[in-house]
Amino acid sequence: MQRKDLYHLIQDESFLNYCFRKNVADVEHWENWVAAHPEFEIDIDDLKNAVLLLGHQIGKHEAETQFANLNDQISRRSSLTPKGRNTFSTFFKISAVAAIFLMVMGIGLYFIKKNNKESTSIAYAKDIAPGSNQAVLTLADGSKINLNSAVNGTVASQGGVKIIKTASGQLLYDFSDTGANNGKIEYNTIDVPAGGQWQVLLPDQSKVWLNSKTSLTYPTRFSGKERKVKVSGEAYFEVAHNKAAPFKVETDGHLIEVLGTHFNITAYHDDKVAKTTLLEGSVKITKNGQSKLLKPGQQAQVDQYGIKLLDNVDTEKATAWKNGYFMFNDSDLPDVMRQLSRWYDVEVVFENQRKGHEFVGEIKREYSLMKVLKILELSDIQFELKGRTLIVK
Amino acid sequence: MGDRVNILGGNELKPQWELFVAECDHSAYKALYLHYYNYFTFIGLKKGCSGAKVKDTLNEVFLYIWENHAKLGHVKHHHNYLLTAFLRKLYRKEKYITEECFELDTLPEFVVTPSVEVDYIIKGSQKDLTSILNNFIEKLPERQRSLIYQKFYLDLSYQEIADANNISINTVYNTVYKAVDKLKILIGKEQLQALSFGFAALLTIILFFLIKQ
Repeated sequence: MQRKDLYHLIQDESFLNYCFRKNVADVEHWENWVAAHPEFEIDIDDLKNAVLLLGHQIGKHEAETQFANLNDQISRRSSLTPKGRNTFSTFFKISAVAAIFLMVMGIGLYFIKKNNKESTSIAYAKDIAPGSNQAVLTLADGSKINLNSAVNGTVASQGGVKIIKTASGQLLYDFSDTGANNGKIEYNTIDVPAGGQWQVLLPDQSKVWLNSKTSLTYPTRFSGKERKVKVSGEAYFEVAHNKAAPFKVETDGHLIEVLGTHFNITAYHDDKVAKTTLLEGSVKITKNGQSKLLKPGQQAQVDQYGIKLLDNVDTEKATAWKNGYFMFNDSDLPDVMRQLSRWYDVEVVFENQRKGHEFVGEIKREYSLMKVLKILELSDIQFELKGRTLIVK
Repeated sequence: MGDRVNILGGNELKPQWELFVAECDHSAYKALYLHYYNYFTFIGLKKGCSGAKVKDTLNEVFLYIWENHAKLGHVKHHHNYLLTAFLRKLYRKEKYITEECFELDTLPEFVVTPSVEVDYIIKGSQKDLTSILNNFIEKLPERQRSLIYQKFYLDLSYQEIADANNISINTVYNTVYKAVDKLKILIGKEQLQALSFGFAALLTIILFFLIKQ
C-alpha cells in the first residue's frame, strides 16, 4: 500500500471518528491498525493532523465570515434608526405602522383567498409553474381525448376494451367485456406535451411512467407471441412477467426486448444518444443487427454508430424524475437545462459558452421554475426569464 | 479531553457578557458570537433543522441582544439565557420553564478539539500548511464549504448531514469527495512530510498532558 492510497481515508467515516475521538470502537480499531502497521504510523498521523487542522481552520473561518455578515446587518440597521427617541412619537409611529400593517395584511389575505384555487406555486406573475399530469390519448379511429380534463371513469371504449381514467395521471385498460370484436388489433397513442407527465397501466398490467414531451404507442390488447410498443421521449417501464410473450420497445432506430423488468428509457429526438438504464431483470438491445444484453445497474447508450454498455450507473439518477425530483450527479449545464426546458416548457438560450460546471444535488419537480433557478444561481450562474424563453448568462 | 460546552458552562465568557451589556462593547460581542456560533449551529443541525434556518435564528438572537443590550442587566446566567432564546426561536415555542429545562438536559454534547493541541500542530508544521488550508477554504464553493464545516468541525455523521440538509447521503459523500479531492492535490507529499516534525513535538506534549491527568 502506498501513501497515496491512504489519502482516501480523509473521507472515511470511521477514520474521521478516530481523528476526532468520537467513539471508542473506531478509535480502538485505528490504534490497533497503526500498531499492526508501524510503517504507516507517520503517514497516518500526518493525515490526522491535516484533518484536525482543517476542522479547526474551517470552524474559525465559518464563524468569522458569519460574524462579518452580521456586522453588516447591524451597521445597516444602526444607520437607519436615529438616536435619542421621543417616547411619545415612538408610540405614535408604532401604532401607525401597526395600523398600516393590519390593513395590508387584510388586503393581502383577501387577494390570496381569491386566487387560491389550484395553482401550485406561482410566486409572482412571471414565474413558471412546474409541469403537471397532462396527456392526450389518440384512439385507433383517430379521435383525440384530452386526459387531464377528462372526468375519472371510463374515458372511451373500443373493440370491447374499456379505457378508464383512475386518478389524476393514470390510465388503465379493462378487458372484462371481451367477447365482441376479437379479431382486429387497434393502437392507441398517448402524447405527453412539454410540462406534462402521465402514467399508464397497459393491457398486460405493465406500468409505464411517461415524462414530458413523450409519446407512447401501444395496442389496446396484447395477443400473440410478443408485446410490442413504440416510444419516443422518456419513459420508465415496470414490465409484467410473461415468458411466452417478450415485451419489445421500439424507438427511433433501435429495439429493446425484455422479459420481466424495471428499466428507464431516454430517447428524445433532439438528443444524439438514447439511453436505456436497467434496474432489475434483463433486457436486450438491438440496433442494425448488433445486439447487447444488459444486466441490472448497467446502461446502454445508443447513437447512430451503435450500442455502448456502461457499468454501475446511478440508477437512482435515471429514475428520479418518476419519483418527483430532478437528480443531478456530475451533470453538466446543458444536461440540466434540457431537463428543465422539457418539464417547464421553456426554450433555453445560452448567452455564453460555459464549461466545467458540474452539478450535484436534488431538486423537487414540484418547485416553480424561479425557485429552481434560485438554487442553481448558488453555483454562480445568472438567468433571465423572458416570457417562455430562459436565457443562461 | 476536549473542551466540552455543557449546560452549566460558558462561564469563561462571563466578563465579556458583562462588558457587552454595560457598554455594548464590540469585541466582547464578537467573542460571544464566535463562541456560540459553532455550538448553536451544531445543536440546530443535530436536531435536523436546515442550515439556513439555524443561521437565521442565530442572527435573530444576536441582533436582538445587540439592540437590547441595555435591558439585559438582569440576566444572571447568560449561557442559559442565550441557549433558551435560541431554542425557543428555533421551535417557536411559547411554553414555560419546566419543559425548557428538560430540553436543556437532552442537548447533544459538543466536543471541540482543544485549541492547545491545534496550536502545537500549527507551530510544528510549516506555515505553508495553514495558509494552504486557509486558501483552500476560501476558494471552496458555498455548498462544499458548508458540508466540510459540518463534517470536519462539527463532526456530524454523514447521515446527520444528509438529514439536516435534506439531501441524500450519496450526495453528501460526493460533495465531500469533490472538496477533499482538491485538498489532496494541494497538500501533496512534501507538506505532509514536514508535518512529521510537528508530530514528534506533538506527541511529547500530548504525553505530557496525559501524565498530568
